[in-house]
Amino acid sequence: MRQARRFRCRAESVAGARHFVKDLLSEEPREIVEAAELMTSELATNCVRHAHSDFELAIHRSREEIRVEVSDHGQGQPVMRSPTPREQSGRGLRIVQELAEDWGITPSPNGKLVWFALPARTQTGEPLRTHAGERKSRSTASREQAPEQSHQPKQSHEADPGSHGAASSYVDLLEGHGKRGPFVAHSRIATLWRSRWSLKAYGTALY
Amino acid sequence: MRLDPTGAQVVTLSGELDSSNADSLKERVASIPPRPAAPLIFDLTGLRFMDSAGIAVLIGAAAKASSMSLRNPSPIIRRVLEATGLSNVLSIES
Repeated sequence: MRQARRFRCRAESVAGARHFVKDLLSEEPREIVEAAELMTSELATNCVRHAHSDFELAIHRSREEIRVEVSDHGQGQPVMRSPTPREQSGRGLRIVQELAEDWGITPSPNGKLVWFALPARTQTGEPLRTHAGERKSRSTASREQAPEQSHQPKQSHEADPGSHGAASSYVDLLEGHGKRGPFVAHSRIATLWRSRWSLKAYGTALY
Repeated sequence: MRLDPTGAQVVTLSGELDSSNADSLKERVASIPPRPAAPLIFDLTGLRFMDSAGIAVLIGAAAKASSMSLRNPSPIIRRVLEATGLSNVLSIES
């Protein structure tokens, strides 16, 4: 399922974006919701403060994965920095890297799409089954790739470039057309990611 | 801002802190009368959300304070501070 909403280039849109995510993920575990909120806030802030652009926020949910995409129409590419502990800024993408199961940047003809993925809670708690044929190679830029290697001209997002100036609107679309295959991860890999993410992000010392 | 019985300056934050209100907080923090010997404590018990814009304000405050700590940050904030190497700059009150 894909659910999306467009936001104006306004400071208050950052809170609007994360509240949108929080509401849609309300049945997910708290740690997943909090991580999604935080990363969404960072990406939305980049749109408003650095790209100076309206943006579209889209959430794709499958049994295995929650994928959040933030697309804008600004020029330039976000760069992950490594600020020293006393530097006050430059941690947005660093936080995404630390909390996301995976993330990436996909340039588009009129801007870019930045996405992150988190493991979805399974309905039964049982190991996920493999869905033969759904596995597709990850075609967007991943965090292991340098930004200059990430250009994939065919990987434009679905935001309507002609409507980004319109007032915020709510779009609720069913997926099912197969166009968004890359985030339908192989179940075994998804399980491994989930285990790694759980250990990495929320050790028992924190809860 | 209030002084607690130990003489520490305690700034209590609530709600959500992001790029839309971080500058306002920064100004408020800058207006706190300097008390060089008094530790500065940010009480985050009621703060439901904070992103890197809020962290930036806290780092700026820490640079000017003789000592500064955070009280009751949420688990996600603890995780971010540790993961980004900030737990030494923004120490968490034990």
